[in-house]
Amino acid sequence: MVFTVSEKGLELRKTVEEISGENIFKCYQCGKCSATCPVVDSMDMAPNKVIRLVQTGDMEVLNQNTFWVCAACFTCSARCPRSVDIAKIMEGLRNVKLRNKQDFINIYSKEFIEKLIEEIPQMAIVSAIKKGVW
Amino acid sequence: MDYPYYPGCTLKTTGKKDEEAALEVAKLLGFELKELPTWTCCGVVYNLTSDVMADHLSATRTLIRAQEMGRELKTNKLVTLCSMCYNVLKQVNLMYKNNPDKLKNINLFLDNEEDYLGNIEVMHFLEILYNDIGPEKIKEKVKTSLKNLKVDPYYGCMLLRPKTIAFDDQDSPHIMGDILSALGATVIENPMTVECCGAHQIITNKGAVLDCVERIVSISQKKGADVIVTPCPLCQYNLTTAQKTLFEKGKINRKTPVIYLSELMKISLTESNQDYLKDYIFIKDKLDERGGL
Repeated sequence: MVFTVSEKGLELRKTVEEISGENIFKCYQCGKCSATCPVVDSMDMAPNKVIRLVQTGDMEVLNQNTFWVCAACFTCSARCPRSVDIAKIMEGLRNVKLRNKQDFINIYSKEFIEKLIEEIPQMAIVSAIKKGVW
Repeated sequence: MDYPYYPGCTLKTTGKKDEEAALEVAKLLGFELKELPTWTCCGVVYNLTSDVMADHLSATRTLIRAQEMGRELKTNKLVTLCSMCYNVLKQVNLMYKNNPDKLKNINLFLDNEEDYLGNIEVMHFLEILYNDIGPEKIKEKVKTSLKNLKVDPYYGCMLLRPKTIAFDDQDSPHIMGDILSALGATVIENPMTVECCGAHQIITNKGAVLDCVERIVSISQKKGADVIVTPCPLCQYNLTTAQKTLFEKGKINRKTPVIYLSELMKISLTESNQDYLKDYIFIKDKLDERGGL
């Protein structure tokens, strides 16, 4: 089977590799990351599939919520048999969106401000902002 | 011996109980945690990108403060109580050790501070308890043995992952269990002990946190734990609040109290702990039928 990768797809792959510092082709799709992910149930697409889309340069990957749902718990990175740091690739995808001014959280929204009034630890608020706002 | 100590934001607010108890436990064990005179946020989450240095600035400032204080106290250690702070400070420190170029760059940028030399050793309170004090010595100092208490030590992610910063076995850690056994408690084994609690998803995706906590707590309850013990303020918050929701939804049939390791240690190591125990009625209630602590 021959893949044709669009120019945009190639650029996406290159950017994700540059930001994350990971070689995306080390992944051989065993799916261990998806099996071990604690929040996979809330994801549109399993982490190993997301990596596959980056490999094939499919722009559809940017419409998934997977990398926003990722809690950066490093379980996948710790258990990957090919030592791919999947958490870093998720950070790379988040950054592709954030650097194009597509924030995940609107810190001025009523929803978010209401959270600040609840007694949520600051560390949770700052983490969410650092992961979801440029 | 005294250690420079970095509290971080949450230990001054929702995690206050942890700090209060830990500072006292340290005194009872014969050392002191000396808070850094000025400190900033640690950065909370370690920036995983390879090209953003600005995110590491606040952690670097803290490491410089530790370097300054370390000269006075003649130590190169920096102690944290919060798992997240431990993770970030240690990863930033390690990044400098592996990339001297990056350290040089950041030192050039921080020209109003002294240079960071890269030799601070970031340690979690648990490491100090286990390596510098040791379970044997803790056992000698126990005033009230926690016999009859079944505890479930829950580590969470930030102390054990990634592997480069872990101070215990990544998949079957034992340090917290060893300390709790030294206090006389019965330690149960929960396979979910290193699972994530959902972390900051509590803000944007509460459902994910509920799923995670349900898995952790239901196993803990099946194994009969009286309390879940954790060193992390965010795990403590997530596990406590998610249990409330899960209980209302009928997904779990009781709520297990989640407390800090330092709190249990304080109960066990203080001579007259009756006043303090008033805050932990749930422990007393549970144990009355088994003959108390």
